Amino acid sequence: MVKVTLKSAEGDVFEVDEELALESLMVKNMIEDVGLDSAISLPNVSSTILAKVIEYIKFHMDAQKDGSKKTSEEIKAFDDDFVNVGIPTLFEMVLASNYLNVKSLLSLTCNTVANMIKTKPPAEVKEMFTSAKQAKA
Amino acid sequence: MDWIPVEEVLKHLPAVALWRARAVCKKWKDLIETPGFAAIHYRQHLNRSPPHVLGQDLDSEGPLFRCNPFAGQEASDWVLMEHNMDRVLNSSGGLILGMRGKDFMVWNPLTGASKMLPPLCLDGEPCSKETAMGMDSFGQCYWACVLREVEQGVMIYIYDSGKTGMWNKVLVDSDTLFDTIIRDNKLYVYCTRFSGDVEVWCLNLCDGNLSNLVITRDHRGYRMTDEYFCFDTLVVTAKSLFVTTATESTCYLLKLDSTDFLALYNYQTKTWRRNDIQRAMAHNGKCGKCFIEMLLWCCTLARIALRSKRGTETFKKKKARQGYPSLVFPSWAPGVKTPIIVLIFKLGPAGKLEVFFSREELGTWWMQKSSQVKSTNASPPHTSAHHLISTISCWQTEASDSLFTPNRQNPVSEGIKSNLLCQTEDDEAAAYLYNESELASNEIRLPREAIRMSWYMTISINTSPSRTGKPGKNYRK
Repeated sequence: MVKVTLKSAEGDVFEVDEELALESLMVKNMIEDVGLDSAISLPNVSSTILAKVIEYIKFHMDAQKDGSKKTSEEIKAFDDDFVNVGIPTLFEMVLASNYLNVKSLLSLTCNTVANMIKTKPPAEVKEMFTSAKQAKA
Repeated sequence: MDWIPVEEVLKHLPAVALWRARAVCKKWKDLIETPGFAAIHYRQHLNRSPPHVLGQDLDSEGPLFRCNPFAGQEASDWVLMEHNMDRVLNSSGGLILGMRGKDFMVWNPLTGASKMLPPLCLDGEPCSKETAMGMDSFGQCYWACVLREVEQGVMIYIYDSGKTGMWNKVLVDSDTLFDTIIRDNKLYVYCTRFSGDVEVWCLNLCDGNLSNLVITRDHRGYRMTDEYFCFDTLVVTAKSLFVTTATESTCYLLKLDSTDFLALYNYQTKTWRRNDIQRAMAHNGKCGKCFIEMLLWCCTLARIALRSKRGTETFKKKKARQGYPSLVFPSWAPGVKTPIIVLIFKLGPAGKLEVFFSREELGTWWMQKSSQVKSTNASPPHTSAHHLISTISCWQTEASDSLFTPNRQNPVSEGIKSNLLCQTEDDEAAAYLYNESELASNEIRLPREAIRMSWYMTISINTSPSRTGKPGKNYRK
């Protein structure tokens, strides 16, 4: 199995299967451009978040394989648990999945944000986005 | 606030919340009001978001109420809708075609935005069966059509929101109009000749191409005579209620004939199918006493055309007299093309729901195991549904609905779901979610205000806040 080396913003190195790495369209393009020899540098993604993204892709790849016994309830439970994090982390995951171009994770995280704001008055939504931005800076 | 992919977040918001989010900041407002974003939002929510129900007391042409019974714990009360329409005629893709005075208008019930269409001078007001509305496959524009019988045939007036302007006119050579729908960007017009022949005209709304699909009569003894059609009123006789639909290549005509059995006509192969459903239904008996809904459906959100006031009254009288099944005329929002599935919902005594279905390629009828219509709230004392008012929407859920889809080549069908609107024995309204895979129908009792409504119109109003017009132009909040 061919491995791909991913390097997070902090410089931590993650070695993953090529198949898994290709789920990120951004990494896929990078591999097509520069090949597999050197580590792929992801300066916009922290180690914590990159680990989470890899965990997510791995789970869903396993769940999709033939012979997987995971029920749709189990998959849903995983997804619910996965996005049950603080707002700063959730926003970071939105950014990371957008940057890495992982469509399914982007959809999951954005849907979670949308569920949070859909009952809030506009002022609170603004407050939530502003403070999340400050927390990031 | 552009450090986050706002568009990706906002497209997941339900329409009402999205419209409210315009107040967050200028950038959001600009994005939300862009027609391109409205189209993205429409496609995101098509078949995914729970439909709303619109209710109106048709006898007094009273106020309109909206309710979102399938939204889980957010299920809201009836919301009084502020609008300035005199009459509601038709709907598609979350927009409603209506009239104010002598002018046609399009209204978005979820946002309140409205747009007057250019003036169209007609003698008398059209009923809803003489109108059609359709959203294009990408959610970018819509068509409003009005059909009138004139001396030379049937005149079709078409308004295209994507083009500036006026009503276009197309004349088709036929005698009597009996139904019309828009599907897959085409307008299908069902007409009859005085001779009893049935004609289907197909007008491609994108390129204006008009074709006459079929002229048919008398195959295997099923004559289209005035035994089946009542020419002067446009209302079919109680002996033969029918529903029509069309696909790219095939047209169907379904009718309940004088012995209460269903026949389905495939214009292309010129064959009737009749027997199987007869047998399936006969096994369960009591056909004539039960209420039947028919739904032809093509893997997409089904929309039920409104009954006109006149049609409803005639219909109610007939029903009272004859004890015949209620039937509505279904139509579609644009969507993925898959084989047509015909569903019949039959509500028997004591709220027992039976569902029959036929898949186009199989050509036989199957009956689902019947399921009891269940109440989700234990109290207060409850009488189960006894009258099916209509199907609000119907769709097929697929495994690909799950979020992780990029690698999935062949989405697995997980089953059919449908929203049904029923009346209970104590004349309250209740909404049901029929779920094929669970063989269950869960009741959601609609808020009690509904009692005041003597009749319902159901429209699945769904998404897309700003499609009634480009912002700044012809636009009103």
